Amino acid sequence: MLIGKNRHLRRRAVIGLLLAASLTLLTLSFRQGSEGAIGAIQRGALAITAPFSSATTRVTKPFVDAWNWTSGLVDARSENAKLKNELEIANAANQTLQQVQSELAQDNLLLHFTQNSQIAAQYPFVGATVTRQVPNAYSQTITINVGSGGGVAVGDPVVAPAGSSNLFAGLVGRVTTVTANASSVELILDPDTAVSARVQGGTVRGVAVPNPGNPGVLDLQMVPQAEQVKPNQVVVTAGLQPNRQGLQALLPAGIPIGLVTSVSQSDLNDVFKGIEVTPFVDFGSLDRVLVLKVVKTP
Amino acid sequence: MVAVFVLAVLQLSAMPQLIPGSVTPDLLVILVVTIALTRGAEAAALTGFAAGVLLDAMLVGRLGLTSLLYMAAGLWVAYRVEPSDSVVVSPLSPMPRPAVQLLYVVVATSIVQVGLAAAHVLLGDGYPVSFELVNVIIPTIVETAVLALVLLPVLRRLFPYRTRADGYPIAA
Repeated sequence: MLIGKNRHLRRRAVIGLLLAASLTLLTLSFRQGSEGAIGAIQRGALAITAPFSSATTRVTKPFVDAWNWTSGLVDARSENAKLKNELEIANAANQTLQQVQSELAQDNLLLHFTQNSQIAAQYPFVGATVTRQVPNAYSQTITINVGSGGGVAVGDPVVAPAGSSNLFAGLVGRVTTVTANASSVELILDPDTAVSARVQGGTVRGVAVPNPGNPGVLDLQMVPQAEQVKPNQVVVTAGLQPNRQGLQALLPAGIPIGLVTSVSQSDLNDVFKGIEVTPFVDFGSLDRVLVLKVVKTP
Repeated sequence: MVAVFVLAVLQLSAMPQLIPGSVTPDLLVILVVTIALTRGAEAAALTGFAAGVLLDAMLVGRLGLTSLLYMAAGLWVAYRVEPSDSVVVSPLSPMPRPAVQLLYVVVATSIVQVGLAAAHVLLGDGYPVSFELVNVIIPTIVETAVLALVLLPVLRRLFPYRTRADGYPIAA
């Protein structure tokens, strides 16, 4: 019991002393601020601990730098992956927008064609989208998503936007097969096609056929040497389309075909001129077309 | 005292670099709790006083304030674990379970942090209570508790439990 009492007394004394010391320090601290004894204690503590703090900082800094470098690398990698993903999404959105813009531009050209062309004013028309295009050396045909249900008939001419021309559209070809909701169109680049054509603003007439040695270009044949034809003249349909089987199908006159790009007269014994015509239509990117309902359906 | 010095330097120099965020774990309170658990109230009060004075001096703060709070925390833990005169202490398992020790660290840190915040608020040089609670008190308690999981066993090895014949801890 005596031991316990002594222990309690000693404990109370120690704790009381420490409490008193703390309160004294606190009071002095408030009174003196950083001056006097308190300031001396603080400066002493700083002076003693500063080298150790500095050493500690030097020891820990490489680890901290290594950690920051590693975490920075991980962050950079994840950010890189995130940015790549965002870039892919942005690219996809951009491509969609470009496609929509292109379709809009084509629709706009066709609209201008229907509003400004005399041909479009003469005949009813229906818009269509190219659903299949099979261009090869033997057959140049496309399939469109409008058929007899849309009033399309065999022989109807098909035009497409021509961005490079101020005529807004150019001849693509002629409908050769019709189903209820689709049609096949033979392009004017098809080896079996021949279009009766004339040079706009003159009396020069000829037959436009695909150039066998230069795909995508037409030859305006049967133009006598005496006729005057110059480059950059516009070639349009003449009104009649003779085919190889001897039949003749009507094709309205005045549909733009292309521009004269070269005129040659090399051989004096040759009866006809050599005239190359570049079509207005870009056959490599056909999408929106217009079918002129020329042929009357029963 | 060496441990107080080392932990004070680590707390003020190493922890701000190693621990992200605006607060750092309170290493000294873990030491005070360990001393209270293993060496009793007097040693805990003495350790708390020394730790507080050193910390306030190094921070050029108001000397004595942190000492009071460390002492209060240490004494609270010491009185919680100390056997009463009528209890027969088993020499085999005198220490509380690790989870309880961690709880003591959490409570002791709370006493210190709440006390500091209250003192600053009363003196008019602190932030609003809600700001202190969210940005200082709770993060400090959490960080200290996490670090105590590692530091407590180490400090218990450095300051093993020693008792006298009557069951009371032998002061350092």
